[in-house]
Amino acid sequence: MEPGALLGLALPLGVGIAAVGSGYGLGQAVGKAMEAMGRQPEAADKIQTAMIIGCALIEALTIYALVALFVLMGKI
Amino acid sequence: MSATEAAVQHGEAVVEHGAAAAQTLHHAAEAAGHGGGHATGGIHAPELQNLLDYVRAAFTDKGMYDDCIGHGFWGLSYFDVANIFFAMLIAVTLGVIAWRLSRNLKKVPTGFQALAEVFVGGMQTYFCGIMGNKLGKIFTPFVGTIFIYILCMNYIGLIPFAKSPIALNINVPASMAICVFFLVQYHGIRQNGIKKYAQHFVGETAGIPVLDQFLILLNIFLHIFGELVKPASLTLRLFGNISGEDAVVAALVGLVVALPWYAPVPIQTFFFPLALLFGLIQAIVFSTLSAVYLLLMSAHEEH
Repeated sequence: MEPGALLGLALPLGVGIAAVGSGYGLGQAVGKAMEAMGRQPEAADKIQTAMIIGCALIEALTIYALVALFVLMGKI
Repeated sequence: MSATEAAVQHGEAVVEHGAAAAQTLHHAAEAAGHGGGHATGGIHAPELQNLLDYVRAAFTDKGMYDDCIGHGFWGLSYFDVANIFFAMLIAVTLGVIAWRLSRNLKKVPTGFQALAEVFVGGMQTYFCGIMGNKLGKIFTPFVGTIFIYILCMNYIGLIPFAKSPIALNINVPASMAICVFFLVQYHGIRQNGIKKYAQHFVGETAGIPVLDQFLILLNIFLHIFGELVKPASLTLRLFGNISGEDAVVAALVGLVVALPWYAPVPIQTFFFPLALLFGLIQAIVFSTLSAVYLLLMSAHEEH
């Protein structure tokens, strides 16, 4: 197989695998945050802020894969 | 390799690439936009035309879809200049609005001043909730400005003939992250003094001879690395999100171009609500993380 075709196969696959991982992480984080908010509605603001920061950190992992895709896209 | 050589090599790669991919869907996307950003810090992705592309096509012999030239101007290529142009456009607009608003402030606010006060007050409440009242009042002007600036830059990409300065070129988000990095370090030194600031990098010692030296070295390395990773992750998160969003819009426009004439469905419109949400969330995340980094740097005496 030629390198371009290999890259064309591997790049979207890589982003997809990264998305599976951070999707699982986001599900855990948001699910627990929702539980906590349901239990203590008066602390909802603080929980939400912490949740958004955590979500951003988790999501960044997929974004790194996406950046790698962008960088290598010209070589396909 | 110098920037000039890199740009030339990029150009050749693109010519070959264009010939090879002529019959694919990618071609449809490139017909709607162009593969942009072959520049310092630029990347290759589908992209819609902006105002500057039309201006360039009208006043130079370069076509609408031509790739970068002009690496003579401070080492910047055309695509860098396009992004910086829109960034400066937003900065100047926001600056003029803020200047006009702050000229004759009234005790009892009316109209636009009342709206702005609600907005600024809301941001101050939000950042005070994260950083505490004292720090929040000091840093709301900086972090809040970053929030408004990023929000405008994210949203301008959805306006026809405009381009998001963050999309497909890493220079503008990197510049903001570098500003945050230096402010955090300056704040750390000013708040704690140079000695405690250095202590933060060294960590605490246990009193065991050889292990201590080893741990100090490890600590210094880890802390410096940790500080340097912060701006990198800020940059890449914002850059990747907004680039991805704009590339998706451009790719969907490419699909629309490929549609038959009797079914003109503007597919990209369905993505716009999501794009609005992403733009807001990324602006919140960037400014919130900046606030958190400032807080982490200053909270050394408390724990």
